[in-house]
Amino acid sequence: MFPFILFALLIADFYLIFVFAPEEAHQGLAQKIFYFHVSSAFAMYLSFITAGIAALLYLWKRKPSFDSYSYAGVWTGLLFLSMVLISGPIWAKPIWGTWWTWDPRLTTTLLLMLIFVAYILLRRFFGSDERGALLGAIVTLFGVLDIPLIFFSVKLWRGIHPSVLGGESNMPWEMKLALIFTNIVVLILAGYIFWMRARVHQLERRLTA
Amino acid sequence: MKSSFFPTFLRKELTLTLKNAESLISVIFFCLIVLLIFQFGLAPSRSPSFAHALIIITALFGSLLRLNQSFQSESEGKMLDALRLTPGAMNALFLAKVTALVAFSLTLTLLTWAMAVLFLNTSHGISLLLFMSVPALLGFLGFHCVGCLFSSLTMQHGRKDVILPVILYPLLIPVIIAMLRCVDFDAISGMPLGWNADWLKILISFDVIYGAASIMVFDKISEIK
Repeated sequence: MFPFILFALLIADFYLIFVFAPEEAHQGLAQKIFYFHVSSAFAMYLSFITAGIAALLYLWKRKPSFDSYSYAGVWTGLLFLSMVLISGPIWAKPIWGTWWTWDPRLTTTLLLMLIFVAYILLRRFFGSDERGALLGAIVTLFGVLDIPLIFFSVKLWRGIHPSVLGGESNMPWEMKLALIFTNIVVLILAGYIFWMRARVHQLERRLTA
Repeated sequence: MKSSFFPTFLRKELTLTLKNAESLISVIFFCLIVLLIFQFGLAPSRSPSFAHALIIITALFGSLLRLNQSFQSESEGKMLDALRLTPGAMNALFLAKVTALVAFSLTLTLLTWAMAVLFLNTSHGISLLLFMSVPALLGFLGFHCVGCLFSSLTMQHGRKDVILPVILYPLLIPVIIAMLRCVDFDAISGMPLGWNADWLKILISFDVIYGAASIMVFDKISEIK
């Protein structure tokens, strides 16, 4: 039942983005990527923070379920991080005239990808035994410590990436509505993917035990 | 933590490093080879900023080779089991290893600097060495705190030579960038002008966060065999 509700929400979201929200005067159709890009970024951060909290709980309590949540958090975060790194350059090319710049926020997002891909590789090397789970938890914890850098990188360094923190917005209400709705739907989607991945991981552990 | 553990372990680490002369010399020659390969691949330059980047990168690669072997002596026999049973011993061991590794890396940086001055004919060599010293110390401190932690966890794995760089470098890229950007250079002459306060603060922040996290986590993970 839930997947069908989610599908209906996604259809409603596409309507809001492509029909209801107006086209931006200067950026045109390319601006529509903004809704997916920003909402994917929020889902990414939330997933990694969830993974970090689960990793911390695993280090404290050593319960296998926390390891599964941490693993699922990283996996879901990587999925949405890929969306961010793909949609970003597609949007950047017509707007900034370049696929990539070594802007601080872009660079730190790329670093996060390297860190958590290393996590996935590490789990493949060590598996889901206690040492693998422990190593994974530590890598996740250190990786999550890097996340604040992303939030404050635009304030600490100068860059061409727009800031989403503070400042006045002159976005029309239709665009704001589409953005808020997209954020909610993508977060629900992320939560669903997270839950399914955690379940699969727990079942895999039971099978291999 | 008993006060005598740290000096004892530090003395042991330094003695082992000095007695294991073959691996020390091989790391130095490795650094020379890396320096030469970079020199062949990039346009030759006498600029201190060019040399600074090469020296730091080369010393980082050499430090990782040493890091891979850092828990070799403890992996034999049941030494770690005995240390786990002694309160405070594991923390002292961790701090001693980090101190010894930082000392090794700083020595390696000094030797790489000498090779750079000799082979690259770098100008303003002494100024470069003086300004490079603080970022090198702070950078290698952060590098080895995290490196020592992961080296202890991967020491018994057959593929640790592959795993350690794959895990370590992405986590430590912020430290590496800060080490490389910490020194400001004159745009025309390339002469070192001074330390960049912002990057220095970032480097210190990384050391505090990563160092504290590594020490706290090492105690927890030392219970796992």
